[in-house]
Amino acid sequence: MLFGKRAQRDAFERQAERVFPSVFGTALRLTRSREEAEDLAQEAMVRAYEAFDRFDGTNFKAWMLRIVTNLYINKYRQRQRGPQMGSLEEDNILEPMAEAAELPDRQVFDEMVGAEVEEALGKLPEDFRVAVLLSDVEGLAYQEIAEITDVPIGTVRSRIARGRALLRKFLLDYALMEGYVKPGNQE
Amino acid sequence: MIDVELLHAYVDGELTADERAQVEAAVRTQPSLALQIDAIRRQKELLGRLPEVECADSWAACRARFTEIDKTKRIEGFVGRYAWAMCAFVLCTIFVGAMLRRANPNAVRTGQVAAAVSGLSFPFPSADSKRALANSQVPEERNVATLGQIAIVGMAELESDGKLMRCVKLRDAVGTFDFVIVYGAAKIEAENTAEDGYLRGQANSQNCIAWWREGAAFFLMAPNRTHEELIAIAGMIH
Repeated sequence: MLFGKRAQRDAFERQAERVFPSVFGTALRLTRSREEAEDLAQEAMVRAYEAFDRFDGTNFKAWMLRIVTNLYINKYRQRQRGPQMGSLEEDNILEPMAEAAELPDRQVFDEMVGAEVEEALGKLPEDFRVAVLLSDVEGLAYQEIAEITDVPIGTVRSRIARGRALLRKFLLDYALMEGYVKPGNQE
Repeated sequence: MIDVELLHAYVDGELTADERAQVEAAVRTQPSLALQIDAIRRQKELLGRLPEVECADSWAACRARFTEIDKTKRIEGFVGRYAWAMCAFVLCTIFVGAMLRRANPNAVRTGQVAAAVSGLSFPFPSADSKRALANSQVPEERNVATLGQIAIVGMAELESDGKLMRCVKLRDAVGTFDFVIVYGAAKIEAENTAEDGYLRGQANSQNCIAWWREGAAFFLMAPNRTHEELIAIAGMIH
């Protein structure tokens, strides 16, 4: 029995160590605070460790991201500042379709550095941010994101499209500010 | 006009074969769609290139917490498995401790005397008796000749826990009190004996003092008397 537990811990640690950067990165991008991200990531790992015998063995990374996202939603979200999801999507204020003229120059995305992208990501409304993060940063499929966030797959598709459109706007603002593109020369 | 969400899903590889064909047909007729798809793809790639966050310290803290959890679970498991055994051990320890405390069979427990006296019916009740103690049946070894103010009201003998007890009801000017002698007592089981050799306490809701001398235990108890008054009487009895 003791050997079984030792082996179980080893198995958990092997998988957890591989996905921990993703878990921590997601926690950091959700909370936007390193201290809170450490608490969130560690609590998620502890919960996962305690529930490891209930893991179905299919996709450990998705399982971990589900834990960290749900934990954030249930525990940390109330304390967070900044934009919240709701009005943008429900009132249809945000237009997901970018006009061709608004499309950024190809060079823009190559010139962007991590800090600028992270800051733009941080400005996204929360539900858009979660969807874009899980899709584009963590590489999860729509179905997995739908299960993690507990919304229909159509809502995931919509949030990703709208989140990306808004992120593109923020990135373009940066590009204009930093001189990567000039006004009127964004195509 | 194609739905922009389809373009994003196309980049993400999330379309059915029919939807994919629909998007690709639209791209062939609308070149701007290709630009949009390219922009979406580049933006997606930009996010995918974000550097990993430094988190070695946090991972080390996680491992430390796993170790704590394992330790707690081991303890909980041990306690869960052996709880009955531990309870039995504790009870046995208490029982053995109690037995060891009673290892001296000749010791006298104060409760034993109190219980014996409380149920006592003196065979010689004589409330009016004014016999001097010098003429009483008090054992000869007691120097009672000087206790002219104390009279014997009654006396009884009984055996408790294998020891002979002699209970004497006495009276002085203030009232009656009980004097009990337990013969063959090695000691009195108590922890609060004062330096003067007297044990002070309560028996049958009345103040009681006890002392041990020359193989016998003595108990003196009376209502409405302080321990000091009882000690003064004991001094007279001595």
